[in-house]
Amino acid sequence: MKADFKTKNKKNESDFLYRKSWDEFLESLKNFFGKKLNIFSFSLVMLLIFIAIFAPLLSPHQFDQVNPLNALAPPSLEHFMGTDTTGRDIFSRVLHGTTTSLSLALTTIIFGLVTGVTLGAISGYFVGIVDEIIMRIVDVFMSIPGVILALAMVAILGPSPIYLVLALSIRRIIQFARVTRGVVLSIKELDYISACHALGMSHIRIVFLHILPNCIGPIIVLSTVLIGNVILMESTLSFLGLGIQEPTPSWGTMIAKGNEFLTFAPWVSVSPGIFLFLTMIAFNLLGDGVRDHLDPKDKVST
Amino acid sequence: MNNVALEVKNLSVEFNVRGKITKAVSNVSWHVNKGETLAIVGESGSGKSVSALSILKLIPDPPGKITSGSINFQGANIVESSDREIRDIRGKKISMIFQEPMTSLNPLMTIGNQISEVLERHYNLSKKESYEKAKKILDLVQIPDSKRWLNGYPHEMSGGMRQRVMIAMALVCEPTILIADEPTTALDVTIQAQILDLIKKLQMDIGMSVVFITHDMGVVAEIADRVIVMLRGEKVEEGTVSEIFHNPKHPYTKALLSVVPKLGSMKGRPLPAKFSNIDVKRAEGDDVVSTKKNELINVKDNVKKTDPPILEVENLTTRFYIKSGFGFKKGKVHAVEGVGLSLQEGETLGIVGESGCGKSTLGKSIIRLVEPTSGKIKIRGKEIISLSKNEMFSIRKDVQIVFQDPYSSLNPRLTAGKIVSEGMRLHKVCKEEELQERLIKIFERVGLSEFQINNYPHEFSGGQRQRIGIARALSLSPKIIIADEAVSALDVSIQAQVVNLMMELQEEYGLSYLFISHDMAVIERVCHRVAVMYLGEIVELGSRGQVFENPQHPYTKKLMKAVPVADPNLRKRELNIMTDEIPSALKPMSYEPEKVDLIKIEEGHFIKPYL
Repeated sequence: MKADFKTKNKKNESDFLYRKSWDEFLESLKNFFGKKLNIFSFSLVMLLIFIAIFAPLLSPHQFDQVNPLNALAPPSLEHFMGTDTTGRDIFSRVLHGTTTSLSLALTTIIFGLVTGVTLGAISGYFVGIVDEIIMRIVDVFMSIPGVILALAMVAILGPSPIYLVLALSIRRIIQFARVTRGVVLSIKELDYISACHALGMSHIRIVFLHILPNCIGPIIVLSTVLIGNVILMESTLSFLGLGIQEPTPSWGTMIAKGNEFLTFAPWVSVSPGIFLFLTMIAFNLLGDGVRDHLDPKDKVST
Repeated sequence: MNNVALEVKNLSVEFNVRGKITKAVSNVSWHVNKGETLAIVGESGSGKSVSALSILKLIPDPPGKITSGSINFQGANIVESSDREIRDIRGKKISMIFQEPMTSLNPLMTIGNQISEVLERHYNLSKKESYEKAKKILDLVQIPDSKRWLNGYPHEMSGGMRQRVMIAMALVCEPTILIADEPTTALDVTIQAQILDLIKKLQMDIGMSVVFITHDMGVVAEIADRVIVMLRGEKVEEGTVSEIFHNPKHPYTKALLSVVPKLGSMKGRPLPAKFSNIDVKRAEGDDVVSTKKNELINVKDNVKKTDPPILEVENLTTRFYIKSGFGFKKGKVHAVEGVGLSLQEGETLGIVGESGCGKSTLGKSIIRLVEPTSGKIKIRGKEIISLSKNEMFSIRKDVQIVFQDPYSSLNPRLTAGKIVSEGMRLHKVCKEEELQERLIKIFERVGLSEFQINNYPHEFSGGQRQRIGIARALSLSPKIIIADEAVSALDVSIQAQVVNLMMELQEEYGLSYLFISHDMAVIERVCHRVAVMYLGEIVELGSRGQVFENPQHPYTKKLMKAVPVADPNLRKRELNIMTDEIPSALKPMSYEPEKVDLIKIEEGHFIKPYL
């Protein structure tokens, strides 16, 4: 056992402690996919991404092919999910909507997360005047309802996808900043952070290597929750003509438009709704799985 | 049998956590007689709290479950009684006080409301009647100005007062049995002495039985009539208090008693002393099995008198400002006020004082984890207070710190090896190739195995974690280690091991320690010189012998008197209930303390002048 340990470390002496070897990485992946729930959520996310990329090839009809004679037709072999008010095939539109909604949601979340977490970490770590400035700005944005804020931004900047992402992420930045700041505030008081200071570490090292990895739980939970949130918020903007422009489909718009016919043509809303539901389930479960996997308490070392 | 107030028979309790069954208590029987104080002693994880909690069915179910046994109280078996029946017993016939006075009162309810709630529940008293009774019980537990406090809130009270309110709540229905689960562990010694005296006095007045759960042998010697010693869920010994202390039978009891530092046991010895008989295997989960007598092993006299000393602190002051909104300062806390001390190479200087006296802030100020307000700190003759962060970097190598809480002092997401090696990489103390070898050496030196290098902190026990903390401090080969309550959170047997380790390291590397602790007995054991702190100032400073054998300042005397001694023969006979509180160090902005120099009373022995 003892000899074994030594030879194992001899082999990759330079990677000792910090850099993980390829073997270890594979081992870690194996652990992650050892749980059925993780396989399920990961496959579901992959499937959604696959659909998003290959939507044009997968869809049986043109998403913007109008056929007024066949408006609001119920699901059939020809149209799996029925048709909408202008007779467009909902199944094809939902597939195409995956591209729009998913890319919009993910870019918004990633942009919001990176900016928000950075701001929150700076604010929580340095407190004092920096914190006051950042947090008062955050307060200003908090006081304006999210929809109105996004509306104003899109109205000023114009309805391009980039500005839409920007408009949607302002609110996320604020949410991420708030949450991160709170967690950082509590973690930086712990003794192991004091020990880091006593060892003479730089602020950047302490924040990125010691504080942020310990904040990961709430951040992952928040981002998975916000994915569905962003998709629905986009529909509000689209409803007001400031989001994704017709005829480009997006789930949010489709759900919103189907509201009127919910009693006699539920498929118009329900079909994109199911996809939204699956997306949220998939990302939530995957997020939980990743969070648990990253928590060393779940690991049993040999 | 009529004399028995409560009988526990063959009790077993199991915890089922995610399919993993842990036996917390297995087949334990005991009883408590009327008017008697029974102490249940044991270290953490021994099942002492669980066995007491199950009396009131207060163990969380799930995961906990009473698997067998009976608890007989007034002719009924509590294990089998329903929720409704047990609720009538709780608080009325059997009541309980808990460890943490800061969290066991509801912060949103007034003191009067909380006490009268118990009365309304059990006796259907009207508001007015129950408030009258509440006032009476507050008088009984010596809360001054009790009428006013009925409308006061818990946050306005100190820890000791809150614990007295807890006792009042427990006693208001005049229960036959009081269960006290480590009621004084979170309190300062002087407050602990007050609470112990109070419980004793009330027991005499009301005539109830007390089940007292504690890990502190000193407290047991002070209060108990009979003692039960528990080890990993089993009862290993039972006897009267003098049997247990003077004629222990089980090896675990003997070992436990031998590692308890006793105040006054170091009389006439000039040097600190190690504990003799500790089986290191205990850290791995085996029993301490030892039959050796409690011997003291002297350490080598390693103190080098150099000029300048390795650490010199002059007139150090650290204040915290209390801010109201918009950053206006509305008050200040004088955490450390004009402290001066020096530390020689290979010497241990103990800083002792009660909570809030500024001893931790002093330690943190010295390595500038907290920025001091003014003063001078010289390390090896070099003034460090004006150094920039970059200039401090090289000083950091010489001064390291070990923290109190073994759980919050290690980053849970890094392996033990990374935690210890990070500083070595940062300071480039050795070449990258030598790092691993050096790391293994350090691990072995602090008593951990090299196989544990890649384990995460949660896989270690408390004592092992503290060893990692010491290894981290040691990794840079520092000259000075500030031990901020480094052994206070550990069980006595583990504490003895860690103390021994620290002394061995001192002998080997000529380390200097600034040993901060609230525990007088440990300080007496490990220190060459001692400084007593009170409200941010040093009130007495001298060699260990001078301070402990010839204390001059009234505060030092009071502190010494309050420490419970682990010997039932030395029990204080007279009950002398004090209710004085430690004044607050929070002062208005205009307050400026007058500067008082310590006066010398003999060579190396200084005290602060007092009225």
